[in-house]
Amino acid sequence: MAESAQNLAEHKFYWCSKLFVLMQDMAAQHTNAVLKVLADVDHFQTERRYPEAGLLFAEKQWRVFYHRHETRPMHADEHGHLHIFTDIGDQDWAHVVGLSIDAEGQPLQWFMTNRWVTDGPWLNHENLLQQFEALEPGMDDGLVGNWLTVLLQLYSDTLFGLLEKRDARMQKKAEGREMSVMLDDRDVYMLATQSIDLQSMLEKYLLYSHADVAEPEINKNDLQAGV
Amino acid sequence: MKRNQTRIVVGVAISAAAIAAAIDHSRQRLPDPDEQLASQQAVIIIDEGEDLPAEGNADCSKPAALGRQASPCSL
Repeated sequence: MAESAQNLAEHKFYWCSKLFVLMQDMAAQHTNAVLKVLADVDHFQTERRYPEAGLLFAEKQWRVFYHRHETRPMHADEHGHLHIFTDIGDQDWAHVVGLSIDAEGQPLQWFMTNRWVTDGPWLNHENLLQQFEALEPGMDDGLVGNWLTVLLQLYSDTLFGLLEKRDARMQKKAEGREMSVMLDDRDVYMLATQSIDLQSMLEKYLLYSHADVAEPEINKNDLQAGV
Repeated sequence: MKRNQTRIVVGVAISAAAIAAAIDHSRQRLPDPDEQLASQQAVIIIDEGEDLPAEGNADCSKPAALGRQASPCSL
């Protein structure tokens, strides 16, 4: 138990350190990840995906796009949200999680929706855990890809808990119905959410953590700027 | 008394103020969406004896278009 807590503290400290470096890069450029995604967009429109085909990251095993709905935001304060998918082979992409973003480009919450919202295959939490375990920053990733990889790693324990909660909620709602029917049930929309407080997270693990953890070797040159 | 409130990572002193500054300076306003154009009502003039356009011919009634609409956040 103590060992797993130690491992978690090391994990969090490592990824918090990476996130802090990335955020300093963003701050120096007066930008953020979503602003980077929208950098070449003249007219931002609702219901369109940015970029249209999605942005590949983490050795092209993960894919993301940003969009905003005309109605029905995922969070009351969101400007729009990112949808993050993972490659499961045979040209199939499974939705992993959504990330609500406020009007100043800051993450607000993780969210998980029913399958019909994002379409595509539905992976249960055990299968998605394998995808998380294989997630590493890609050599060619820019600021956006690195930021997403770091966030996903930093919150991997939280996200796995959310996925478990999502699956449990679906089982409970099914009440004897076929899961395939549940996954297309338009009355079942949002399944799990978790708010994000980056400042508290960074302070907790970079300043107030007393765990005796080795400081990571971070090469700032590995964290390339640009989309 | 709080201990260990400043750490050195990659040669940068991390303090609560440094974290707040990094977050604050990456707070940059995202673009507002374009105002949607008011939907235009097309005026269709039908000559006497000419067939009315079939509703099913509209692009948005095609299965592909419906599919996207049915899954608003699909790839």
